[in-house]
Amino acid sequence: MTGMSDMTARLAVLARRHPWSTFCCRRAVRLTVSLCAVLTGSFAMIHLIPGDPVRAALGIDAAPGLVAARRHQLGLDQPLVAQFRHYLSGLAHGDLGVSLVTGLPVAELLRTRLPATLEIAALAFLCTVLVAFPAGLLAAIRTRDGRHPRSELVFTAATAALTGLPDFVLAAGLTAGLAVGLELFPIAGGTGARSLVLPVLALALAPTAVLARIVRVEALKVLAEDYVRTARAKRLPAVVLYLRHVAPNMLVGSLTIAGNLLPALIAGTVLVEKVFAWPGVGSALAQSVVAHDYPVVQAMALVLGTVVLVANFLVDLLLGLLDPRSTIREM
Amino acid sequence: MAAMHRRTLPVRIAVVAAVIAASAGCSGNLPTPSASSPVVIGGTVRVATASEIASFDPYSAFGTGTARYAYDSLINVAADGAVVSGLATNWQASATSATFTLRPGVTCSDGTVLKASDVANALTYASDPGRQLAGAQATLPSVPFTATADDPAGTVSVTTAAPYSFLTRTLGLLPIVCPAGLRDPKSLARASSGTGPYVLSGYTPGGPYVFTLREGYAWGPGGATNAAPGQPARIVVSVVPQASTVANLLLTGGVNIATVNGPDRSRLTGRGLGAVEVPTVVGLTFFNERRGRPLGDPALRRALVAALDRAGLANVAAGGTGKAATHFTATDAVCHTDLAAANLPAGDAEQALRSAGWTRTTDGRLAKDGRVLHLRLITSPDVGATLPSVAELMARSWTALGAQVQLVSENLNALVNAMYQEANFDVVVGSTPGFLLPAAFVPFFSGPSPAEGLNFAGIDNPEYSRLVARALQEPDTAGCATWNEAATALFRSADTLPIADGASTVYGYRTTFAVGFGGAVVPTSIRLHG
Amino acid sequence: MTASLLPRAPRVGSRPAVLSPMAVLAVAMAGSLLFLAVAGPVIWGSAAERLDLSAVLQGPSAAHPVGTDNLGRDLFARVLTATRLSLVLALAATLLGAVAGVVFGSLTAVVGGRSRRLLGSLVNLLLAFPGLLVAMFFAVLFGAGAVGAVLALAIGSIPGFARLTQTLAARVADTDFMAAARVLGLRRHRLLWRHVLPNIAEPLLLNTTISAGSALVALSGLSFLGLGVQAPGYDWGQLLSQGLDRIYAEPLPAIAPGLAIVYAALTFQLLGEVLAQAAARRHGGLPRVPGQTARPASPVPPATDDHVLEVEDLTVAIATPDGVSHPVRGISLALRPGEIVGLVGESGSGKSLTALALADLLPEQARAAWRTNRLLGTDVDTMTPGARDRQLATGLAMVFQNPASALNPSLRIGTQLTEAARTHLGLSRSDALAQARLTLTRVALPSPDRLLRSRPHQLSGGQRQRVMIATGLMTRPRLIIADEPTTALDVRVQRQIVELLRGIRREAATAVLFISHDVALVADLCDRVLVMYGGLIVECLPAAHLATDARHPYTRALVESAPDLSADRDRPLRTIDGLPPDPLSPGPGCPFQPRCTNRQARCAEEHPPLSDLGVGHRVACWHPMPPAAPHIKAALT
Repeated sequence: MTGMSDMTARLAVLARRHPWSTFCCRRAVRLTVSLCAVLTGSFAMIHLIPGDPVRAALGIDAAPGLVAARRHQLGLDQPLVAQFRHYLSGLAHGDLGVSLVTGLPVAELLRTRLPATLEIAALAFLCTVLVAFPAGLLAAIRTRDGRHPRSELVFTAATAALTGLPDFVLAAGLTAGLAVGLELFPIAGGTGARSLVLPVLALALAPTAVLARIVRVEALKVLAEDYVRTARAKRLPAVVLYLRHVAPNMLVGSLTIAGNLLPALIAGTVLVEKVFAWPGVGSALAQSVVAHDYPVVQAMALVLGTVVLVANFLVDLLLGLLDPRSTIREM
Repeated sequence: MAAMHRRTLPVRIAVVAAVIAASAGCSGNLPTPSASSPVVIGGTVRVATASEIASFDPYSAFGTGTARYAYDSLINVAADGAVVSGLATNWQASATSATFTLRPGVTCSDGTVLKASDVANALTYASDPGRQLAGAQATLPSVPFTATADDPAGTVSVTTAAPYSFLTRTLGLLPIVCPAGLRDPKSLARASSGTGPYVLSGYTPGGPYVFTLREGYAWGPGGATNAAPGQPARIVVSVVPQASTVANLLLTGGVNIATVNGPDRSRLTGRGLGAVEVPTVVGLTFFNERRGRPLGDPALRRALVAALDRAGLANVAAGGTGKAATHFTATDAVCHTDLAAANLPAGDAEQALRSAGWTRTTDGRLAKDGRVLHLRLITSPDVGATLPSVAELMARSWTALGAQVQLVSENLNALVNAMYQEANFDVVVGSTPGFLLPAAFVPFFSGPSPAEGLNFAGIDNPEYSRLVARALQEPDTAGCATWNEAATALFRSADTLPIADGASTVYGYRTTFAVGFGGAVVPTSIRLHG
Repeated sequence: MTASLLPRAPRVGSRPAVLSPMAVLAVAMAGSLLFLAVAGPVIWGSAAERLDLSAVLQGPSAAHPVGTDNLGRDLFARVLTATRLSLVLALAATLLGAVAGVVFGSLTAVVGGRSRRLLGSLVNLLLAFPGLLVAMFFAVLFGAGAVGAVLALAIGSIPGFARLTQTLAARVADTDFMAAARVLGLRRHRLLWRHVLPNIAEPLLLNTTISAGSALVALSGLSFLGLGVQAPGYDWGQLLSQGLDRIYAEPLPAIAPGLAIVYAALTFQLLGEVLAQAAARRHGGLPRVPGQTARPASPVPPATDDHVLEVEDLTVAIATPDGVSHPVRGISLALRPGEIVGLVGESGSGKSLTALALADLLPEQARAAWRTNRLLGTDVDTMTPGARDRQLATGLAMVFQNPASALNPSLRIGTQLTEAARTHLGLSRSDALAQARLTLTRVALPSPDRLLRSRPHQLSGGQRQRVMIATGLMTRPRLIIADEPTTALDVRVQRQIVELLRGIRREAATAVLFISHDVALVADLCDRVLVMYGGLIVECLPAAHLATDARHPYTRALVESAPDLSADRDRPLRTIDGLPPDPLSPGPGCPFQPRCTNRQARCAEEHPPLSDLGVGHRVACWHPMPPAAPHIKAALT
């Protein structure tokens, strides 16, 4: 007991001395625990599905022998604990199992497709942040203190409408207008920079609308702060006032929300990739869900969950850097 | 989007259809507006495919669809259904044996000469039950056989353990893998080892896949060569899952050749695209005849079928003006003839029910011996976009008769479970595998139920089984009459109900080509126009 | 937030409901949805079910404005009829998810530390999974159908609600009151129901409304994957996914249900926004105060060069939902260089607004007007806006009440200290920093280099206020307006700041307008004192006379309520009964008369002007108190 409390005390001292690294450590521990949970969850998934996933994946008229062989190949006829051990050791060797449908290693599928998904997801996230921040800030400046109620209505209605538009509908609309109608962009496929425009647009619009609204609310809060009045008293140029005094202070709150938008954005790739025949994991995931190809679904859930967790971890660290007070509050 | 989902057929079914498609010969020529314009020499033709091709191994479930580009078979089937030459110049078959005489001078893509023993080895390899080669099994006869070769004479001989009607159209249509490929089967997934007009030269997981033209090829269907002007030097196959995206790409020239079915076809007509219709059957319906199920009663089954508005169902199944199905095989399948209209039960359903002992209860429900008729009607949009609507219309008709219908439109998983595991259905509106040969349907209509067999509806039609046994003894199309008698027996006892004769369409943008059964493009027939 | 800048407006009974355009729109849209949900199936239900197998999948026509579906049914009627089911499903999913999430999340408020952390990380973990994917997974698990989809969506939305509840409940949980409740051993569910939930209900309601919109969209996603409502039932999602099959060939069958979804989602979002506004008591669409009110035509008196600030007849008008209020009603003041003038009064008397008006920092709803306004000898009205800004930025420094919030938390002190000088005096970075070091020394802050690199949260309250003053001094202003600069500080630091201001006045002859409600402090520091009440200056006298010679009853009351001045320690401190006047509807008489112990008939009818009582002493009262209250005089002698 004494040793324990001694250690706690020592840790507390350490935490006071190095708030930043202690913060990082805490977050890293949390990340590790979360990853373990994702791992277990993804393993449990295949066993929660009612019915026989192998039969379902192989199709109505698959020969009974083929079904049994594939079950054996997947180790589904072994005890659960052995299966979990096998799953973990496989993961350690970079083996995510094989697809029920194609019989191909899932790891390879991920290796070839994940970059394409990360490409559009990262670009869409970047666009979301780059557009939503100025848009929300400008809207806040224009509508602060109840000014321009009509602008506020237009802003709210437009962002709400964009949020309410299912992204696959948006994707179809964009294709009809810009690709088929005006032939400005390629219709589908991952060929060159121009083919990125429509998928990224379809993916980013709704999160942009959501984030812009949040940024506006955050900015309104900041604009009403005393220190903004102090800055106004200094009669600084508008650019300096808003970029130096307002923007950094709304960044923390808004970035937290932006980090939470990431899972939604990743989920969006599932539908959007399909419309644009984008060769990423999203379209593969949609196909494997429909085809009940559980090893693929399982691995995708694992990887996407990991991507989201790691991204949130990085956002957290970034926030810690931007706002040192948050690391101290954690203590 | 939804169209795409629903077009994702159960993999096996799609694969089987593709196998058959690939193994048949030319059955249509494409008259297109651009056919008269000058051809492009050494051009690239882009082809769209709906799902990823995980393996190009022609014997696997996936590689069969594109096998025609890189592999040849012993014979081919021409547009009129006639058998024409392939690797073999001569062939003859009975119900228990077949002999093929090889064309001399055939070379594999690695330059080695193809010998008769290589072909025999390929046949033996592909039929090895231990290897579970789904793609090959779907093409080969369902009876065991042994293949022998006489290299000096260039002949391959096959003897089967039991009679089988279509030895030429099964053995003869198997893609032949060269010895190098058989030595290293794993390599076949991403490279080709065949004698075909193209060589798989580029593989990217998730597509695109690139085929390049071979020099000096002269053993195509009926002696077709690679020397014709306008034949593309490269064929690029891209994965485009969504039907409307495929249609958009065709309109803008993003792809040259693609198959489209469903509502998108209406906006592709009149846009200068070439089009070939490929017959299909929509909505093959089965009734659960297992013990304890109400539809084990043939009289009830017949009355329910008679109560249906087949023309209306066909409209709904086709999504416009449809044609009631004539058979459970497509109109271009072997032995196809119009049997359904004449043999499916018709007439006054109410009358038929009364005479079978079914009466209305006071609250209007249909009952017999005190038991009310409950029907579980299942379908899945995953096997056909219009099928839920077809099922809904059926349910309405039967509800009008007084039946209690539970309409279930589920995902494929649930559908397959209901059919193969729990047998928990009374009526299933599914898709037809679209087999070329009537013999391929036999395990679905007779034999053991799952898990030992595929007869999930528990059909026990002694007449059908007797006629099938006789038909299998008759070689090739000589048995068609018997095969159709067998099918007639199924229709008469309402064991199966095909809904509509439909079509999917293969479109060409500035490209002409011929297609075989199921819409497979014949590689040597492709011409690119400027 | 904004409200903190404004004087606390007295509550006048029940406020008439003023609906913003957004509220009107949201209510109208919600009404139309409600109508369709109730009446849709009744009016269009039978048309939506009528089959026409000869008109399957037709495009729009006169008979079918949106076309027909797979069985030849009229899609227009189906879209309208589907309103009920679509809304019911979305609301059911949202409510289920909200209830489960709230229970889950609020548990964290009532359980102890370790389990709270555990629950917290569990919610965080669940949040990492895309809600749509979770819903897809559970929809497959539950089987296709309305019930499965609703349950799946509800499960998918639990983590979000749990997180929100957790965050909100954490605030409640940390209150002393909850700690006390826990010590008292109140049962957990009682804690939850009685104390946690009522305190977080409002933001939860807002989030639920917005989530209903998202649930509608998510349902359409599930329908699109074939996991939603099954035939023969139909909702918008199902109609949309059927329409999408043929969107390029025939766009309207997809657009119509799509529009319905967007319309309903928009309605929910707008409702949420309106609720949020009501919750935040932010009032959109306030009546505008017309620009600067017309000035009296009297000629502007000639400039008197010996004043750094000279304002006559300053008024401030503020637009509120109840009308235009006048918290400052025509005051005049003038400061000479090196003079420290106190401005005292209760909160709500208009002193802070006067300061903001002088510095041109009034909030948006407020407008200032004046007869004369001279800053550093220049008439403000003759200046261009740019010149005025420059004048205000360099000639005038503001020091605000709360140094903790008046400094920007994310900027280094160095930046905040130097930016005005760099902008307006054109100093280079190094020159500005050198000057900042000097200025910090001037305000008695040690080790300026380290200080310049630090951020506000690293300083103590007194240090921050010194920094604020130093910031003001950087442009060498001739006038400092200090608005309650010591109120937020403890007594020891208060003294230091006062000394600092004195020192500054001595060194640079800087004038200081010292605003405070602390009469004793003002008496101690200032040369002259202006007493404000109800937006007016009621008395103006030398600071030395404040304790002994105040003549206005209000000033007298203020003095008697100040512990340091009313020396009779045995008597309880006097408080002033009653409330300050309503700036919305000032009466015609003296503003103090309702609370005045000395009032007479004239006080209620006529407004007393400021009149001279002697050298430097003016008072606005019909019946000034007699000089020198005996007990005070006694105490001083």
